[in-house]
Amino acid sequence: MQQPVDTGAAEQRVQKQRGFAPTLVHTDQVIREYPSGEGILRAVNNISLDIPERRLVCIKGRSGSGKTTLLNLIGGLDRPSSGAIWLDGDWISDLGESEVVTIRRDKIGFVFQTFGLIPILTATENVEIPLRLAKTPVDVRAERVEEVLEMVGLGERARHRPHELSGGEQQRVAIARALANRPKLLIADEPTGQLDLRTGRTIMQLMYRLVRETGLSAVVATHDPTLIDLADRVIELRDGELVSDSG
Amino acid sequence: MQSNGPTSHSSFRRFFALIGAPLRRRLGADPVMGSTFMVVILITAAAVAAIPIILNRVGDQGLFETLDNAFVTQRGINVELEGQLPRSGDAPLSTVTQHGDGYRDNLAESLQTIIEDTQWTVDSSRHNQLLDELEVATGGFQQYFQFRYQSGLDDQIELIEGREPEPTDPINLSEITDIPEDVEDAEVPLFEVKIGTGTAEIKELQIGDLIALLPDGDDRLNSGASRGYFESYLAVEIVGIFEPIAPDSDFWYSDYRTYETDIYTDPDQTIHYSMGIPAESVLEELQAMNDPGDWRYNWRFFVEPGSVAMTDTERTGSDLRSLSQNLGPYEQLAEMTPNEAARNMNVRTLLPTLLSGAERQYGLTSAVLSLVIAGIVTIGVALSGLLGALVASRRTPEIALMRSRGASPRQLSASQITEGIILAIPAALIGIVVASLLTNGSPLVDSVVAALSVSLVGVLALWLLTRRIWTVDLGSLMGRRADVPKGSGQRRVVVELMVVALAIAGIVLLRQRGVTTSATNEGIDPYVAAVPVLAGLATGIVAVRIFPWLARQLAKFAGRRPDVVPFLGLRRIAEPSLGRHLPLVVMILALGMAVFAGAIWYSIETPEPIVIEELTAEEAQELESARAGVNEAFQDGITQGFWLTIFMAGLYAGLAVICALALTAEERRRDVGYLRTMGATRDQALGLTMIEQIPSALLAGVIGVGFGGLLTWLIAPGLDIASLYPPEEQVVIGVNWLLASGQALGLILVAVIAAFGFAWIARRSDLTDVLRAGE
Repeated sequence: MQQPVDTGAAEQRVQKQRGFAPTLVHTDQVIREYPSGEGILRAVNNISLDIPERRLVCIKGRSGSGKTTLLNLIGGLDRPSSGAIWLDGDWISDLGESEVVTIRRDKIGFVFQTFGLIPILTATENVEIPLRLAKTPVDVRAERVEEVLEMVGLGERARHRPHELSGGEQQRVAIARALANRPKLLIADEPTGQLDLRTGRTIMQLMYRLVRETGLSAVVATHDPTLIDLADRVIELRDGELVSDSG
Repeated sequence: MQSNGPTSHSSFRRFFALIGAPLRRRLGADPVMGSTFMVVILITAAAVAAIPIILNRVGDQGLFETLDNAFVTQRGINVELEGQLPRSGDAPLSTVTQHGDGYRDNLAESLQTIIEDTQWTVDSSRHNQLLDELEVATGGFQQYFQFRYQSGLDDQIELIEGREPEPTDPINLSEITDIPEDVEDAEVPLFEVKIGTGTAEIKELQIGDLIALLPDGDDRLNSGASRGYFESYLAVEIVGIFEPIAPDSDFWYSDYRTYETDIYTDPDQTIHYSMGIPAESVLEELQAMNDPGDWRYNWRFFVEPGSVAMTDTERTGSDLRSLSQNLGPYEQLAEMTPNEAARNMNVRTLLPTLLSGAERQYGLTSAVLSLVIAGIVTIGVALSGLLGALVASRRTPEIALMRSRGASPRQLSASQITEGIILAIPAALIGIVVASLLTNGSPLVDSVVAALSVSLVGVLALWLLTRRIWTVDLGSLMGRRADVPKGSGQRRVVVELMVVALAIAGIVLLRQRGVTTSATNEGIDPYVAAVPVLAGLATGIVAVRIFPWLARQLAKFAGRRPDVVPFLGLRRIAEPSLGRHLPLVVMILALGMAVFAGAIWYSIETPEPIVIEELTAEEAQELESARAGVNEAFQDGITQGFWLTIFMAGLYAGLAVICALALTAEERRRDVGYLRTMGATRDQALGLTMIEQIPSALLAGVIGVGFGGLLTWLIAPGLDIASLYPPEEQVVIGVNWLLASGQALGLILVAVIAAFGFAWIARRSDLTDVLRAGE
């Protein structure tokens, strides 16, 4: 059951913060509970945080700490049981399904541990999908695909299908796809989870570079401590609670 | 009985415990797949088990109707003897009964068992009735009179006037008024008779009327009589008039002259044939008059329509044909009558014709229902294969794990076969019970064999389609590389080309020379007989080749547009994938069978009338005989078979669509989950599911109708449906395109509803769960 939240006060706080440090995401006392057996599991417990623009933020924590749940909430894939989430001018926790879909399409890019590529499509076609979903004109679409594939260094592998690419290349295609609609926020859930350490670090470096070059913010969940040194800010979760925030 | 109860009960319990425990385990391990496989085997087994029961019933019912619809004279056996049986004192007619019984006792056993009753008639030779002057002057016509004895007559008539005939004294011809004047007066034997009301009415006779008769020299029965006999007048007095109690009863054996004068009229003349029943005690006197001339004895053996079983027709028909050729126990009768007379013996019956007609119709029904079985089994097996693909898809991680822990392909293979048998055999047994309940008949050995065979073939198909997951490279299996589309191997292309070439050659041969090996129509060429199945396979192969190409072209076109749903949906179905293409083949086969069955059903339900022009007497008799052989039981049997096919085809098509959706559900669910993270709406996800099913259903609709038309074109000429219909009706087998289009639309509708159902369920699933499952 979603709890009523004083969004007015929270918005004032966000606006105040935006005045001196542009905030892209704000979560206000967000709680997410799931029924579990006979009881209730609180996957995210009363988390309030701000994510500014142009930052690479890492969320770390062990398995089950609530990283994925928090990312899903920020990305509008899930709704909080209570609390509110603000994303680039919208209280997405209050919006209807269709508005959230639009925000996901236009403002957020997702990257998953398993890459989430459609195996029957080439790299180009995979990257085209969000542009097709946004009904981007064909000529603009072609330009944009070329641009993002070049950006992730896969211009020459554009005609290849996922199974013809290495794990790192597949993840780069996934990142290119996430960037295709020029989102403001990149959400990556364990993007290096299926990659070796070296490739994983390359992917993190790519995201770091993208944040710097394109002006987007990236929120990356990982429990790999060797990768988080590239982050601008590190948030640690434990049992659904925010236990540390370097920023 | 009581002592057996607990033992039987515990045996059943032990049996069910034996079967039940592994069955529960297997169903528990994968309830959806296990129960779907069981349902496919169950319905297929039920259908193939029902058909022998239907066929058996149709055979007996059809034969019964054939015989019951036939006239009693057509199904009865009439043995006629022209001669004179020995006369024996006080009860001369008892000899006739004895000889009839003796003849029957010496018939073949197959004939004795079908004879319900025996009756005889004993007819004298013909006499001319003497006409009076007035009649002669006005061009009077021939009026014949015969004496007749008939067994059991007294129970079938009621004397309404006068009395029973008795022996009486001779009479002087002068006492008879209505005779020509030139007949000399003489004392002649007088015989009292009783006549039927019909005879009395037609001949305007009353009690006490006298008729003068003179033996007819033209009657063959009189050919052996002495010359003096033809000048021996005799007289008849009407002493009784009787009425038949049931004039239309089978008792009369369509011979109504006993009670009613038969009037024969043609443009040149009118002739009356009348009969009178004299006293039994005057038989010897009457016979002595034309001795050594003949009398006519007819033994009528009534055949009970329900006593002949379809399984006995061959033997009965053979015995009847032998009887007609050899006159049966000829020697026995020959000893009882002068040899020259015994030559004039014959057996009249249409029973062999009726039996062979019923056999022909049964053979046709059997052939048609065999086609139905073949069609149902083919689709059922293809569906089992589809389930095998589904099992392979679902079990890949489990099998990969087992293989990585050391399970050998042989162990996994044996495990799969055992599991298949554990699921299939009980399903087949339940199918037999269902068939028995639905048809309200006891299962036959053929039903059990057919149902168990179906279950084993189903297990084999399941095993064949799952074996790739324990034979494929383990690395690929663990990396889920099975998802990766692969091009066709050269071997597969060669095999496919061979099947198509064989099918085309077979079609040409089948159309050129029919299903038999030679012009002599001896034996069936197995290659040509397999053409429908080959044609089905070839159609499926061509469809599977055309479909991705077509989908790719459409996807290219859709790719130029900004929308994602048509592009992605068409790209997905363009991929070579067993999970997508096997359902297409099943749908094509199912629709093809349904269209073929619908074509035959519609054709036999709407026969075209034929205008029969004026017939000769012989042609009319043949027509009547052909009409008598027609009955609705065989038509009903064939109709039931085709309805069963249409029903089963619909069921299979529905299952194929559901399996297709189930096969791709996981992949689609995962992809739709990722798409929704990119901003795809729920409606777009729904559209994606629909677009993946509708083109294949549309293509299956078009090719299935074409395949059904091809089957009809191939098989219809070999089906002699005409023998099931009266001669006035003609069955022209052809596809009713409106009906076929309706069936195709039905298939498409099933696909749309199933896709919508799946999409609706998927729509309700939580996105975070989907993504979590993807990982």
